[in-house]
Amino acid sequence: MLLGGKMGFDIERLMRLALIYVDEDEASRLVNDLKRIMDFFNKINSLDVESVDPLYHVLDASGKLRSDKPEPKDTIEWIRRHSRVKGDMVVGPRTIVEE
Amino acid sequence: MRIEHIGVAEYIENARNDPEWVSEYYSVLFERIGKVEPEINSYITLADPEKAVKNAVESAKRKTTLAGLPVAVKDNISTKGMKTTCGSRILSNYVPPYDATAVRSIKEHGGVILGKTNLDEFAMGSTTETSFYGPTRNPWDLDRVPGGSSGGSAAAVAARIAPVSLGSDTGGSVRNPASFTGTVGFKPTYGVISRYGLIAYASSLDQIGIIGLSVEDIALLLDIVSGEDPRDSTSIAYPSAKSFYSSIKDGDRYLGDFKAVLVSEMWRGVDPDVNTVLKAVIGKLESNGLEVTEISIPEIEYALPTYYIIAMAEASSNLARYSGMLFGISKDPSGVDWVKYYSRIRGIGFGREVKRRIILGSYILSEGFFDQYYLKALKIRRLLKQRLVKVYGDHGFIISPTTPITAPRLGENIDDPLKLYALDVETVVANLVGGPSISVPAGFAGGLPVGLQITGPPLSDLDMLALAYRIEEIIGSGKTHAPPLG
Repeated sequence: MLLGGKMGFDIERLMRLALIYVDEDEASRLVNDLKRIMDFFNKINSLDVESVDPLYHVLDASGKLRSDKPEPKDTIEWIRRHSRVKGDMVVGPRTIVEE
Repeated sequence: MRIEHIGVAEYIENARNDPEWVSEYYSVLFERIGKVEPEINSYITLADPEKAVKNAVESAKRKTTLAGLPVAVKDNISTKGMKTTCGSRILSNYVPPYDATAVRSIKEHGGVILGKTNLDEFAMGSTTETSFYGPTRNPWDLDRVPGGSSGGSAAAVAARIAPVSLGSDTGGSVRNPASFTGTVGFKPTYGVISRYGLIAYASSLDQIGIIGLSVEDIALLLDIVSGEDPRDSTSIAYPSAKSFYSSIKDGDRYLGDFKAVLVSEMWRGVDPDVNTVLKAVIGKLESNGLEVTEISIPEIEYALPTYYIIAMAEASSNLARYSGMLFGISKDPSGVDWVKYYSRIRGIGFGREVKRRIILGSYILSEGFFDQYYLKALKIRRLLKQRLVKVYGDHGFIISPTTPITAPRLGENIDDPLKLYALDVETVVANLVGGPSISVPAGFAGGLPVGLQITGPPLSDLDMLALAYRIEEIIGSGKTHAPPLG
């Protein structure tokens, strides 16, 4: 389903990329918003930054490592108590689907 | 007891002198919460009053640093055993198994978590209207928004139903609501407060901040919650031998020791009444010795789209973890195909603004658009940082409005994303550059608070707080003005 006139958004592709389902009513409003926001983003096209390197981290000090020592954690027990479990496994949706 | 004028410093002094005073304070506080909170809706979850007062009195008796100080915490900061929803339906049943480092530090120093405050869903918004738990209202005018996304944290402090609070600031989310509610909102340098336990929105921009009634109160709590944390590799130890609190109290520093600059682009489109209030304050500061110059930085016009491109791209990645599997709302997934299951849960669980940002973020990061938008935004980010660090070095702190307008009415901006994003035009620069920024109350326009913002280079937190403290001495503290509530 291609919505949004000239600057078309393939809503099915967007839903699959983001793994978010939106119904038809929401989709047409969403596409209208997306078009306007992308127009706003396109302002950056008027600035030439070809020779500038991208900045991923604001501080040079990032990326430190802590010592590789095991620490007690109760996360697994917490997941066991709060998720749908079968034995030691969390029950999830099917990952292999017949087309 | 007039709780309206009791900030962090007064609380600690009273509590340490007389632990019995603490139970009286808490009883007045909870009585006021009962009266005021139904009108404001600043909390999503409140602590059990009996347990809170018991912990606080014990803490005061033990003469801990915070002596049972109640602290409100934004509901995207993890609290062990206390629901943490991020203002979202998708986390409506989520109770974290651990404390954020900032929360742990508060508890270890004898503070008490008073409750979890309302916010725009996943901190995505500037008005606290996108919360699944309903909007928070501005204590100065109940028909108006308190700003956002830390709107609950700011409204609770302004309404005097919390003496101080933690918020988070990705593009102005601590400073914007501070400005709209007449409180002080401080975002430290990226890394000064650990992000461990802060539920991620845009990791390279997110930073925990503090909202209080005075600069002094902010400095007191900052001494507790700042510091390097092995659990956050981007956290840093602030390079100073002195505490933030003792530094701002240094009597040898005068307004004339500081330099400030007005960037003409940051005054364009500012409401004339806001402009008048702030220019009068700046005139007063100049006559008290502050050296103020004016310059133009044309590149700053690119800051807002650059910020939103980076924030949405990072959000789409960070929020991929909400799949209805390990935490948050879920349905029986057996027999359902995974794409359909995740998509449906996320379709139900996220609100409109969050969906917009995740979808656009995924789009920007997808093949064919990555270089054009995301990579280009990161390049502009470097350009802005280089340009601003030079400006700070040459001219000192940037002084600007915190927001171009006073608090809008509820519903006024919420249906137009671009109007909503425009509220952040003054604040995003600090997050892109990584430096500290503070909003201090500067007066009123049409009966609504106006905030003055100071922005500086990374690691200028100490000097910035000292400057803000001197400014507060000259123009008066927001502590003396409480909204007419209760």
